[in-house]
This record gives sequence, structure tokens and C-alpha cells, in this order.
Amino acid sequence: MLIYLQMIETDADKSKFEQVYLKYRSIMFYVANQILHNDQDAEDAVHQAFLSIAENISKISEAVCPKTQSYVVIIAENKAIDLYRKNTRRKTVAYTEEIPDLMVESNESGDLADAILRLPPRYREVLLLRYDNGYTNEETAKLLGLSLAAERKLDQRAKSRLRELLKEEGEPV
Amino acid sequence: MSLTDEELLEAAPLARARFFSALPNPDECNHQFSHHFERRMRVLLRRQKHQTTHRIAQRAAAVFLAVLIGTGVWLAVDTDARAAVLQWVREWYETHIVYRFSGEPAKQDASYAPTWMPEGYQEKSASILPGLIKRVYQNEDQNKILMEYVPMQQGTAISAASETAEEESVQINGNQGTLYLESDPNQNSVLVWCDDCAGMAFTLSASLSREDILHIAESVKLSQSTK
Repeated sequence: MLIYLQMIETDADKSKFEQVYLKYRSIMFYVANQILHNDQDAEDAVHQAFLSIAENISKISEAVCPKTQSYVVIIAENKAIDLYRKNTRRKTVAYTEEIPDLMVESNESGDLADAILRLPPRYREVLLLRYDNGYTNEETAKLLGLSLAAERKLDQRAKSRLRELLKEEGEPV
Repeated sequence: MSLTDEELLEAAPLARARFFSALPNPDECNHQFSHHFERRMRVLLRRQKHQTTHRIAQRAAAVFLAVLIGTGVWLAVDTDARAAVLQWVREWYETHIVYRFSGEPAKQDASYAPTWMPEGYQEKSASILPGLIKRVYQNEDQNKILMEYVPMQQGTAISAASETAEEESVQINGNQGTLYLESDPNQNSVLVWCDDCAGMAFTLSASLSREDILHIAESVKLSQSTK
């Protein structure tokens, strides 16, 4: 028989997960709905995102901070794209192509950051998780629900596409 | 054409900042989530709280204490609410039972101890920590009896899991309790009871007979209180 006694939380000490939920659920919904254009589907995507966040809550060091916001929005976007692909049943759609984007306008500066923003969402997500949030390939694979091999391939393709964009811009890389 | 990690490490935060400058501020986003969504999230939040109890307990300087004799699965999923002024609720999950408390702050500095022990058992240690008091008794054969109690106040919980224990409702000095009795002598049985008047929840864990466990529980008395 196993038994625990514990203090769960006080009003002033809500769990990290609950803080993330309360702070970011609406922006996550906004992001998901930009892709799905359907409230119910967007809520489903947000729920799926929180299931993933719950599994990886230990990877969040601070509940409310820019990096956490970036992480949860990326996961919400990722789940919304998954649902979009499932709903449209376009089996031939490539993993990274023909998916509605968040329509983030680049600032036309032509620099590397601008090029990252012009990548397809899947490519942008993997690069931001890797190089902004600082997750390893293994962690990124888990966060995005991919095999490690698939994540590495996505990472390589993202960088390859990034080089092409920079070459088009004439940026020395 | 190369693209170094250093360049990406420098550019990614900038890309993130530009990305989020194009999105509304989280505090400005208002969406009235559906009841269906809220219900699913309540389940997830509750589950997450249970799964992260050890981390939360560390942060709250509270205590996480386990007496592991076995693990197991409770197949029932149900909520069994009870008791005076709804001070505690027992919830059954697939793999564990959780007692959650919702009362006002209780006499946290009250000290309780059993006044009867089976022959040969002596108090080995007692630890009094915020929100948790633990007493360990041991005999010459190194068999242990563990008594713990927590104030039944908002944010306190007990969780338990067992594979083989049989559950029995019991009365401990007029207070309702549940005995999770193990048939395997190598496993500890656990008694959980709540003293609503004192605002305390008690657990007793030992590999003893039903009668001895109940006898110890009924002998628990308030030994000290500064309130």
C-alpha cells in the first residue's frame, strides 16, 4: 500500500501548469483559430496542446515568461496544424507545405530572423524550439510528437530552406 | 553555404520577438471557452496536480512522504463525497485514491500520539513539519508502524494506491475512516480517518492485524496544543 500526505497548493501557490493555463489559454486559442477558423476545432487544438504541455511541464522553468509563451504558442499552432490536416484529409499534403500560416508579417529586413519568420510553420517551430527555447533534438521531437529521425530531418530541411531564402535575398551566409 | 548554430542562436530570439509583436498580448485575448472545454481542462488540471505533487510539495516547503509497500490499480473511477461541512472529498482514480481537504486552517501545532502500541514497539522518531506530522514506531524485528496526520485545510491532500487491499469502512472514536487491509503480511495495511472536530486527517500504516490497527487508531489522543 502506498500512501502520500502532501500540501498541494495554496491560493498563492498555484501549480506551474495552472499558471500556464490561466495565462496563455486565450492566446493559444487565438493562434489555433487563426489556422482552423472554427471555435470548436480551435478549442480541441488547445486541449491537445495542454495535454502535450502537461506531459512536458518539467521542461518549463518559469510559468509566465516570453520563452514559455513562445513554447505554448508553438505547441498550440502545431496541434492546430495537425487538426487542420486531419480535417481536410489531404493525405498528399506535404508535412510542411500548404498549411495556413499565422500570417506573421516579416519586417522585410532580409536578415536571418526575418528569414526564419518566412519559413513554413513546421520549419519555424522546430528552429525556434531548438535555438530560442534551447531544447535538444530529442526534446523537440517529443514536444512535437515526432520520432527523433523525423525531427532531425525537419531540422535539416528547415536549415536548407533557410539557406535558400537567404540566398534569394542575397544575404551572405 | 553554411549556417552556424551561433548565427541561429542569435537570430532565433529576434525572430521570436518579431513573431510575438504581431500577435495580441495574452492579457488582451478574451475567449469564452465552452463548457465542454472547461470540463476537459478541469480533469486535466486535477490530474496534473496529482502528478506533480512532489514538485509542488518541495516548493511549498511541505512534505512529501511515501511508505511504499506495493503499487497497484484501482479500477473504479468515482467520486465519493462526504462529511460535515464538506471538509473532505474522496476521489477514486484508475490507479489511486485521493482525499482532498477544503476546510479552514486547523490547529497545525496540535500534537497527537497513540497511547497504545502492540508489545515491543517504541517510538523511533517524530518529525513535525509545516502541514505534516509523522511518527515512526519500531520493534526489535525492525517492523515499523507509521502514523501521520495533516490539517484538513485547503490545499492538503492524501493519496493512496493499492493493488490487493480490501477496503472497509470503520469508525474511529466516532469519526469515519477507511481501512485498506492487505492480506499479504509483507505489505502494509493503511487506515485513513478524518477527525472533523479537530480538523485533522490521520493515516496509520503497518503490517498488523485489523484489530491492532484499529486499537492503535482509537488510542490516538491530543498530547499537546498551543492554541
